Amino acid sequence: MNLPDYILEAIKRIEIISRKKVSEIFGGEYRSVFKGRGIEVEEVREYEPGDDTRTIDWKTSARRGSLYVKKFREERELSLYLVIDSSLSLDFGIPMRKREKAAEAAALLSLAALVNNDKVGLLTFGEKKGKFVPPGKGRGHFLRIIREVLVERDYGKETRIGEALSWVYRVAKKRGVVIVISDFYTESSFLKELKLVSRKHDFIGIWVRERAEARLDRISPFYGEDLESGVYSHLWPRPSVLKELFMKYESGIRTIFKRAGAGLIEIFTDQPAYIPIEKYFRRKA
Amino acid sequence: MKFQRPEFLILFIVLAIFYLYVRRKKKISIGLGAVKFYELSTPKFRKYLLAAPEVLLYLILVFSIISSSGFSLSSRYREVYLPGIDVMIIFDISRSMAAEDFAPRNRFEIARTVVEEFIKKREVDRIGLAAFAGAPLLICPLTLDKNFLISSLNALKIGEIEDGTAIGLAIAEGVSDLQSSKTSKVMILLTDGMNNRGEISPIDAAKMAEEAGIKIYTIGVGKKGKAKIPIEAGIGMTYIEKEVSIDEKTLERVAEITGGRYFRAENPQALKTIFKEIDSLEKGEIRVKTEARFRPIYNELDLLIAILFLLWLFLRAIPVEIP
Repeated sequence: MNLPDYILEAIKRIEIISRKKVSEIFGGEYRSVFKGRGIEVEEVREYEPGDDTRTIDWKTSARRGSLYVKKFREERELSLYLVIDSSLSLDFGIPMRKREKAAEAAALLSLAALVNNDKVGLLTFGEKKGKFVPPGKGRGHFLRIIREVLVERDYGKETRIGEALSWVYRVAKKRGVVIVISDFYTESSFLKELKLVSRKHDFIGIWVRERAEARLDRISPFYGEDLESGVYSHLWPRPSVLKELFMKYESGIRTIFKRAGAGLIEIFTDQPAYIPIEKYFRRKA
Repeated sequence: MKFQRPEFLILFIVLAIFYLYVRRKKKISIGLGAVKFYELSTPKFRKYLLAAPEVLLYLILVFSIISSSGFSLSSRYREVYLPGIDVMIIFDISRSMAAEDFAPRNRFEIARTVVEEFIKKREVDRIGLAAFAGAPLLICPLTLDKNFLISSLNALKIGEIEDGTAIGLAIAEGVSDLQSSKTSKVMILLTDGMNNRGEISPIDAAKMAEEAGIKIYTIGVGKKGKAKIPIEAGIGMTYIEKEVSIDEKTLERVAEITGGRYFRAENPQALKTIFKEIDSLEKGEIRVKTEARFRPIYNELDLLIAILFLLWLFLRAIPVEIP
């Protein structure tokens, strides 16, 4: 697969930043936010002086004739499902497209998961379900995920978050972590699906935002193209009306996440993705 | 609607080719994910304002092509004219017409003045003049030359013809003069007596007239009762008193047969009124002719184009953000 240079470059850059951030601080916090389901016996070995006597495995000791202790470990190997909006509205952004910012967030979270020995899976979506990458491990897998996020594909003219969520709900049998990365420009409500998924999994939404797009002082007329529907139109908004619409939309998104009891991280295209993400995880940890 | 140079309309094909194939469909635009919000907060009027310049340019082109192809509108011209009718005036010049009951002048003079006025009024009609007494005499055939007609009228004298009153013959004379004319035919018969000469009775003559499509207005001139008539008596004049004996029944009948009317003029004023009435009754029929003419409307179209261009200039002044 031949990728354009700018994507390869973006992949490289995103990987470097993410690795640095993950090794520095983020990895541990990720681990503590998404805990395993409990503890499991990792191994049984001979008692050594200093071992906690409470950990002696009496059944094995009786069988073997000497003292054995159980070694416990937190049950991990969670699966992180990244559900990433690939609709065309993400092709806008200053200084960097929302798509790249989404990839940055995805890379950061994937690396944090991989460092903690978790699996990472990916589902991209637009109007319909896009690419699904089943959970896996390793650097190759990581790069593949970042690439999938960055490459533009035509997944239709709308954004249907609800459908993608219910698809993930069906596929992810085991409890895991689901993270939706999107700009949440959608016509249809996805509250029902959001509730469903967040009841079973740890759920976080990452809202990729663009300050210029919601620039409310844009009052001079311009010719705009809707990136998703491809419709051109003359635009010359009344600032007060526009402001009201944006505020309504923003509070609408926040309300949905609040009602579903899910976390929401807002990242901006003109700001490194790790800052709000780290802040969120530090608070939760 | 017509084009004087329809071949110039080929330019429309060029315009269509441009519009469909050459025109850049993707324009310089700002791509947005949130266009919906901008769309919703843009008033309709502003949208039209922004879309107008392009539409105006196309309109200007369309009107220019129409103008250069000589677009003409038909304007209907209504042409109204009144064709003249033909009038034959039959004048009684028997001696009794000299009766002085229409003081201060005699009947004849008064009648002559009134007829002259009538002639002057009927500008577009052909009028002829015949006199009669014991026999009819054509004075002037139907003519538009009013001056000649009036001079012939003034040249009339009582007693030019042997005395008597041949109404029947007079009508027949009028019929023969009017027969060949193509428009409405009217005869005005002025008399003060009773038919007492000629081989044709007034009724028979009226029937002839009716057949020829001639309408006869008959006018009886003279007061009721007796009137003084001057007669030459050797040296000097003498007057005789004579009963005015207008054969009103016959005159009425004549008018009735031909679809005209009978009037009795007992004084000069009444005679004037009678002629006025005949004048108003006998109007030529109104013929309306319409004709379509085509007139190219360059001027109007050029004005329109200029206005559209000016409008375009103003609308272009709206500062549109360019990415």
